[in-house]
Amino acid sequence: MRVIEIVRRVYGVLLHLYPASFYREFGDEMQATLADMLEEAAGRGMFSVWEACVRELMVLPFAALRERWRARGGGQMSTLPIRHVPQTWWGWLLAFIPFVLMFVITVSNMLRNYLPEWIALGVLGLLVCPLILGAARGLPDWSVASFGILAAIANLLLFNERLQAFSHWFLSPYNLAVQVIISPGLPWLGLIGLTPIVLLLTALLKPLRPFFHSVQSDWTTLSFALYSAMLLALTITFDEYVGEELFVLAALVALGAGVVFYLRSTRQDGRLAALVGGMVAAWVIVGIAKWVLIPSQNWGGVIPTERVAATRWGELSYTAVTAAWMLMVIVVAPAALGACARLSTHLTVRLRGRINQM
Amino acid sequence: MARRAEQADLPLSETTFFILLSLAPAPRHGYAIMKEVQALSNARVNLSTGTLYGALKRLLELNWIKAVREAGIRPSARPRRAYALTEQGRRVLRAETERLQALVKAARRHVPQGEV
Repeated sequence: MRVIEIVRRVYGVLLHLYPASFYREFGDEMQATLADMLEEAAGRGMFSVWEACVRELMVLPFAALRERWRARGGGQMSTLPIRHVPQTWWGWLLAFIPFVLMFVITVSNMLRNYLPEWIALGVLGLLVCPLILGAARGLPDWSVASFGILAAIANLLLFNERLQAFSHWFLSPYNLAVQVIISPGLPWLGLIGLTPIVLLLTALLKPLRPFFHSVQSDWTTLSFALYSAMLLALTITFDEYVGEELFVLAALVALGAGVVFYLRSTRQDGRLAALVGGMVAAWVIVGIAKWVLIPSQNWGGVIPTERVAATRWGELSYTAVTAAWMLMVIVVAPAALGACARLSTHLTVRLRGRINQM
Repeated sequence: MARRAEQADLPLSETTFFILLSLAPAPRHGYAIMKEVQALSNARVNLSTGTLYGALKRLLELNWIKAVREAGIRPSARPRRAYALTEQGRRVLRAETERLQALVKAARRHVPQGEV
């Protein structure tokens, strides 16, 4: 029959929609099976032939697309191990690079040996390098340590001015207490918005997808990536202080300890405890630093003795609120995003189940 | 009883279950599988070639079935590839059957006789 011949030819063309490997393995066999099916349908009459033809030609393109989707890894659960502990010494070095650079800069400032501005470009280059190296390997933990500080800098440059302008308009009707709670969070709001976009990119770009799968398995991976934003928070919080360098070094040691315990921990709750512990210790050091340093600060004149206590409590409140905001950025937001990423896996698996039933 | 490893793969989709079931007695080639699945499901499941070969590919990857050569019936016919259950596939099929039996048993116990 002519119809059967035409359908067989169209079917042969449509088979090329499959991935090449699938076509090579099953193409001939599928054509032979179709021929058997149509031959038998012809024995039952024209209606059976048409029924078989329509079904085959309608389903085949979708089945081919489904195979292409599978071949690209769509809907597959990650089988990659979560790679927390760097396997090489340079992996450890790269995981610490933002903290080491901050340490060097602080020591240099302490010695009053201020680094020239062009060094800043070199520092930025050193921060970007691990991300570029890691991108080729699916962004393992050692490569994402500098993401937080870079994202925080980008956020500050892109959003901070606009957010501050907005805040004057937004916060002015509210009382001072509300302003005190909201204002320290403003420099970080953009970061909360930036993180989901970056996470979405890692889900969409195949080379970066192992990072997305790591976040699906353990959201603290994202917290770790954002952890180095604490370095910028330290810089900002001591912006108008002098003589704070020793305390900054102590806070850096606390943050560094958090990194070590995070990388060495084998459990998610241990990793979370390491990051939260590092942050809390760093903020406690900041609080102590401000308490100790305030009487010696010269902010448009030495602070009068009767105002020292009030200034101390004011600064401590500001520090506590900033710490709470940093916990929001580094712990709460990643936990919520991790839940969304896991939900996306659940939905993908259900979708895959539906497609398999086709 | 089914082992825990097999139970992790359950429940099977209806298509997968019927394909494995069709291969339980003997190896079959693609079209024979389609016809057997149709017969086993009382014509409720009509596989298209696209669905069938997608499923066969996954079952081969899972090592639940294996490809075997089937000699051509006519001397001129090319030998075709047939598919057979592996030991692992047989274990999964057994585990799914036990699971379904347990469901039916529970339903019969719970609902008055004659209603199920």
